[in-house]
Order: sequence, then structure tokens, then C-alpha cells
Amino acid sequence: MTGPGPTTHDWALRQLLAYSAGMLPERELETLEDHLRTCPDCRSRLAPLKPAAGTGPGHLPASLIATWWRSSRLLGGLERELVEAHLEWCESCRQALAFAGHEPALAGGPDATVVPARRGARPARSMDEQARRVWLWALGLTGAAAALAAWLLAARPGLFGGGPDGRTSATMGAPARRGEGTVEFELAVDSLAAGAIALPQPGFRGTPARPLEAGVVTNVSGVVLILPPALRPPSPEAGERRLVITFLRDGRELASRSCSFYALGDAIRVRPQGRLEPGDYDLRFALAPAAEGEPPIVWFYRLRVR
Amino acid sequence: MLGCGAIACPPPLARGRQRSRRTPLAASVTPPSSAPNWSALRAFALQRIRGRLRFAPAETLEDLTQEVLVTLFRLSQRETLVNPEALASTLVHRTCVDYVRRMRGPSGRLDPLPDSGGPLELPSPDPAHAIGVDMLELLRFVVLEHLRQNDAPCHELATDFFAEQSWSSVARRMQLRHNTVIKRWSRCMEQIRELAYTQRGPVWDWAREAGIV
Repeated sequence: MTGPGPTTHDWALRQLLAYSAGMLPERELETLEDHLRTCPDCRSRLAPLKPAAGTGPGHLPASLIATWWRSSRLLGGLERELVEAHLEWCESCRQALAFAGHEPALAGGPDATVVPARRGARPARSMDEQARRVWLWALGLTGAAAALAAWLLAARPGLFGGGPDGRTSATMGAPARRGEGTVEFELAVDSLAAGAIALPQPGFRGTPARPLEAGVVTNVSGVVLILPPALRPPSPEAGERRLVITFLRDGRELASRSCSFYALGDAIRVRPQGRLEPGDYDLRFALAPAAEGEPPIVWFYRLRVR
Repeated sequence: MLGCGAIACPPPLARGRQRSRRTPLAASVTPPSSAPNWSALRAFALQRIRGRLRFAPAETLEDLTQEVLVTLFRLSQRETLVNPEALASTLVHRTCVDYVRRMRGPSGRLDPLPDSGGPLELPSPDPAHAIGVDMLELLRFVVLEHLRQNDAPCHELATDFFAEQSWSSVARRMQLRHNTVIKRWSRCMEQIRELAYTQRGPVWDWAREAGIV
């Protein structure tokens, strides 16, 4: 994010939304507040972004409640968990949902069948007991898994790729779905491979509304993705920045790999262990910021597998 | 006449497609003794919204009416609504203007719109912005709820700021220096940026598209 130049007012206008969401970095925040003190135009544009009376931001937005059955099913991951946790303790929001004719439960969605961790829910004795039991089970299973991993590491050291690239097959602690298995990322592969798909510049295609057709993806050849210019480092310095590739389905991480930006090469291959189940998958590239305090750059592509 | 009791009035009309899912408005909650007539208020709000957004689809009109009524309901839970029709008119204006802004995408949120009571012009439909939820509000909610669960001091700062929309005001209220408050909040923001870096979902997608995280 660049600082204000000669046209401070124009710069300030572009920052107002981020300011209103509380997302501006420290330096910009100070500059913008200085500007707001002297600029009635910016203040008047900021005013409508204030929450309306009766709709404090600490509660579910009225627009979400009004469209609950459509909108709540779109929520995924942490958003969904937070909404569910909020409904656990907030009588006011449950009442508002009941008033609008809805049950205080999210409509089916990516994690509809998964019982999420209800962080911050009201403490209750039965929940404490359940949590203790879960912890005991988790500790036992973790111990068993550690012992198994130690044995495998000693007996078959090549089994764990790992290495300096920090390759993982993370599922964010959740068991991978049956049939999905682990996905491997191969970097700097031949971009002339048969069936390679050219990824468009971010934002043009490969969006949820316009996914990229990847066809059938199996372990035999995987799918080769040719990277657009935006995913090639413009300078050697940029090439040193860390980049994390993540493969997701329904907001759930199936695999991720960390590497240097330059290590991507011209194309990458996504290779599943077996055959990828038909459906939509997301491929996320997250590039570490160039300077401390700046936001990371994130690109998403939606792939449709048959 | 909008002042009759909720019990004496017929239940409000449920929306066409979702009719079977809805219970009558305010049917399952205990309203205050002087509860507004929700059915009449609903008809009133729908009529006003239809007048402001003449070419909006019926489903959108129903959504916005419901949004207005939910806000009215929340207000009625806090205090007795002395003049619900006037309040409904104000909320209709605000809701319609906000809706038009939302439909214009993130940058459209700052567009000046006429304050007059005339019809509002809807932008051409864009599937990317078709979701009816106010994503800015939802982002604030997600941030607050995350901080509520994980960091009470940051939650207090965020609550104050989202209500005031001014760090100077927050600093005054907390009797702290402006710089101190901003530095504290910047540390809180690290958590949120981390989330924006790793999370997937409509809120984060919207925030990234808007260039605010």
C-alpha cells in the first residue's frame, strides 16, 4: 500500500472502506485520521458506513438474517464456526432469527456435516466433561500416532518427503475425506506437457462463478497448470519471497506446500494419490508481503474436476 | 393504522418461495406489552421499498423488507417503539441506499447517493455482487467475534471503533493518547491479517477483492 501523495484526498477516498473495517496499517491509519479531521467530504462519505441503529456489529447483520437460508449456506471455514459459536451464546440473535422465521442453525454448507469446535461458547459443565473426554482420546491417539510415525521414520526414512520445501499434506486437523487422499505439488514442471491448462491472470477466469475445467484428474498424470505472469517473480528479490500453495475443497485444506516464489517455475503439477473426486476445488497461492506490515498477496483459482 | 396488537392482527405474509419455512413474524418470541403490529409494518415497509426500488425483483424486495423488520424487531427489544412507521420509513431509506451501494461492489459503498425520497436506480446485475448480505457488516462481525473469543482487549477496541468509526473518539473515551490506541490496534490487526492470509470464505474473498486486507 502506498502512502499519500500530492492528491491526499483521492488517496484518502480509496482508504475509507479499509479504514471503516479497521483494516488500515498503522502509518496509513494515522495519515487518514489527520486528513479526516480537515475533510468534510471524506467524513460525509464515511458516515453511511457506520452501522445503522439497532444493528451493532457485535451481532449477526440484519441482511444475513433476512437471507438466512441462502446466505448462511455460503459461509465456510472460520466464518461458519464464528457464526455458530455466536448463536450458541447470543439470545438476541437467536430471537431475531426466530422472528424472521428461521431456526438458529446454519443452512447446509461446506461443513454442514462437521461439528465445528465451538470456541468461546458459554461454559457448561457437560461441555467441559465432553471436552475432557475428547482431550483424553486425542492425547491417546496422538501418542499412538507419534509411536507409529517414529517407527515408520526409522524403518522407512524415505516415506516422509518433507525437506526444505516444507511440504505437507495438511487437512487442518480434520480427517481427509474418503477417496480424496493426499495431493502432491510438483514444481517447475514442463509447461509443454499434454493437457496442460493455462491459468489466466488472477480475477479473469477460474473464479467460483467461472471455474476452470480440469477434466478428470488422476495419479497417472495429474493436472499441469501453466502459471500466468502474475505468478512469476518480476525480480530476483521477489523470487526469494515465500509462497504457500494450498489445495482446498469446500474450504477445507487438502494439501499445502511452501516454497520460494522462484521455485514455482513456469508450470506446476497437481497430482493426487488416486483419482480426484468430481467437484470443485480451490487452488490458493499466498505470497508473503515484500515489506513488513503490508498484506500478503493471495490468488485463488477454482478448478472443476470431472 | 399500524398500532393494533400483534395477537389481534393476522400473521404477516411469508415470502413466496420460503413460505413453508417461515413462522409468522414474532410468533415464537415474547414481544413487549406494546408490541408493534408486525403484519402492518411489513406491508408498510414493502410498499415503501417497492417505491424506492421500482425495478428490483420481487425476491429482493422481500429480502429488504425482512432486513428492515429484523432491525425494527431488534430496536423493539431494546425499547418501546413510539412511532414505528416513522422509524420504518427511516430504515427503509437507509436499507435501500445501502443495498444499491452494495450492488455497486466494494468501491460503490462510498458513492454519494441522492438523499431525496425518489426512486433509486439499481446497477445492472452482477453475479459477483448478487449476494444480498452486507459484507462489510459481516466482516466486522467476524472480526469482533474472533476477537471476543481470543483477545478481550482487542475486542474492546474493535467494538468501540466499529461503533464510532474514529480512533480519535476511541482514544478520548478510553482516556488514552491517539497514538497509543492506534499502536494497540495495529497489534490486534496482526491476528486479523493472519486470518485473511489463511482463511477462505465469502467474507475474506470480499475483503481481498475490495483490497482492504
